[in-house]
Order: sequence, then structure tokens, then C-alpha cells
Amino acid sequence: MPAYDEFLDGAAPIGPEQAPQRQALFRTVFAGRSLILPPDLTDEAAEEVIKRLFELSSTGEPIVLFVGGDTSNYSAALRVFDCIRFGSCPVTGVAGSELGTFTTVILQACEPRLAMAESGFALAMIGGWLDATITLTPSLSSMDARTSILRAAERIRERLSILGDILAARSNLTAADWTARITTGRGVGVDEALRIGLIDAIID
Amino acid sequence: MPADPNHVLARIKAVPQTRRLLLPDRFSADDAGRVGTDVLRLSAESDRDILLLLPPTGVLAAGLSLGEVLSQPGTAPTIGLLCGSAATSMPILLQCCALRVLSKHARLAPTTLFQTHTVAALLFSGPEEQTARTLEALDAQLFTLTRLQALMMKRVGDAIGSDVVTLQAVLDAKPDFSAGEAVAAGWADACV
Repeated sequence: MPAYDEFLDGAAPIGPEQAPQRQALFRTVFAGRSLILPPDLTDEAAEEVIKRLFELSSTGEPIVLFVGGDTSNYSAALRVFDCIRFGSCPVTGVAGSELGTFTTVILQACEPRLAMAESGFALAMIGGWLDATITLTPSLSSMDARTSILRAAERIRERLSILGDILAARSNLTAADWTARITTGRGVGVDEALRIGLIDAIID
Repeated sequence: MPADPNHVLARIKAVPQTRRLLLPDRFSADDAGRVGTDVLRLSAESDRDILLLLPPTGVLAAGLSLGEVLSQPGTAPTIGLLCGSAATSMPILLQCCALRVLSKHARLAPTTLFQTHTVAALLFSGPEEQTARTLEALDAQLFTLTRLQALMMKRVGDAIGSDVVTLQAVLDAKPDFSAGEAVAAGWADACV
């Protein structure tokens, strides 16, 4: 593939430890075996991503998934995460911008997990909302409303626990550390992400 | 008895891509027909596992017709793998798979069973003659739908050593399960 070779020849200098990974990445991308996670991951968009992953898996060769942006759709994100996890092909994840909590979770299903130098991880979701809910609930007059909100809060805690478990599984932090970070909305820079094991390598 | 998650995961990973089938979300009768045909074709090729990736939602009747195919004798063993949050038809279709697997992030809400629980209870609580009479009294379409649902419900009931009436009471009290709860309640063999 001439274009690919020319691109490699003209590539900016990279460290020797990154070269094989970078070459493999370019090879996969130039072979048309990459896809980009839509910035707004709706149920429909997740379905398209899953179908495309399934199609690309037919050859058994590696796939590159560019992950970026954020989504508020927990179910869609976890479906994509699971489809990568249970897939038959290795999927390289590349974080290309600021990722939110759910897109960071999707990246964790990939092997390896790479991040562009300018990317970051804004882990924030539901902590403030959860606190507000607990504070607000006793003041509600309707028993049904109180029950509904408490049930929603219980569901949020469950999801928070699942997210913490996923992030802890491949990093150096515990699930409790991660839930605390998500609850307080603490962001993670790319260097820190590498240090704590949220990603495997930074690519320039 | 729940299956060993590590063994189940290894079995899933061992399924080649050519024996993996993806059901699209909100799948229709056409989708069910296509996947059902693929299941029969793959069964003719080999008796090795087929992995069926189940979506969160689908048309109930389409799910039931696919369930009929999966329940046919001679069909290769299907591993049903359910990801996401699934209501109604998917938990039921899962019961037709030889190995019923949930992602540990999945949730189940098998609410549709409420509509037919009385008939289901009749089908499996009386003697065979009574069951036959009950079946005859049912409209053909309702029969197909109810029979499948009842069979599936009975499978769950068997798994927890409960009859369908007791199971219905359990569902009334708790219609929504996390993956771990669903395995404990007999709705799946493993969560991975």
C-alpha cells in the first residue's frame, strides 16, 4: 500500500518504544479497519457501531476504534463496551479528545488503550445529582414520588458501582477510588491516565 | 445451578466469527427469519456452539418465532448472550437458548409474562388431560404465544425449584433484576 508506506516514511519522529504500536495502528487504519465512535452515542448510534464492529470482525483482523466525546447514555455505552469485550477480534482503542465517563469506560474494553497527547478524561457524572436527590427526597409530599426518586438513586448507585468496577479492573486504582473520582467530578490528564493505568500508551 | 463464569466466558471466546449471529435492536419478523435461517444453516454444517448476540428489544412475536427455531431438536447448541437492559421479549427468547448468559452489566425486566401467567399456571399445574383441554380452548395464535411463554417460564421455575404460580408471585414483588439477581432467580445460567 504506497500511501501507507509514504505516510510512515514522512511520519514525525517517535520514540522507539512507540514505533511498533504506531505502525500497527497506521496499518490497520489504512486498511479501512477503523471506525469512529459518534460524539453523541444514542441507542441508534450504538447499534450502528455494534453492527460495524460485527462486520469488521468477519476477517479476524485487528480493528481500531477512535473514541472521543461524551455521552449520557449509560445503556448504549455499556452495550458497545460488552460487544467489544465479547468480540472475536482485537480492538485497539484510541482516545482522540476529551472523553467523558462513559466513553472512558468504552476505551477500557479495548486492547491496547492508546491516547493522543492532547486527550483527557473528564470523569464526572452523577455525584451532585445523587446528593441533591437524597437531600430533596424527604421534602417531597408524595409517597410515590419519594419511592420513585429513591429507586432512581439506588439505580444510580448500582451504575456507579459497575463503572467503578470496570475502571478498576485494568487500572492501579480501586473501585472505591474511581467512584469517588466520578462522584466528585475529578478530571484526569493523559500523563496521569498513563501513570494510574487508565491507558497503556500515549501517542504523539 | 449457575454455570462457572470462567468456563462460560471461555466457551463464548471459542466461538468463531462465522458462528456468531447478531440480532439487531428492535428486531422484526424479517430479522428473526434471517437469523433463524442462519441458525438452521449453521446447525446443518456442524453441531458446535452458535453464539447469538441478543439486543435489548425486539418484536415479541418475532422473538417467539425465533425461539421456536432454537427449540427444534437437532439445532446446534446456542449460547444466548444478552447485553444492556432488556425487557419483555428478550428475557423470554433467552430461555430458548441452550446456555443462557448475561453480561454482568445487563438488567432484565420480564414483564410480559404478567399478561399470560394465569394460563401458564393452568398449563403446568393440572393433570395432562386438563392441560390438553386448556390448550384446545385457546385460540391458535394465543396458544403459540402462551405455550412458548409458559415453557420458558417453567424453565425458570424449575431452575429455582418453584412452580409457575410461586414464580409469578416473585415477579410481582420484583419485576426487575440485575444480572446477578437474574442468575440467582433462574433467568440465566451465568453472568460474565
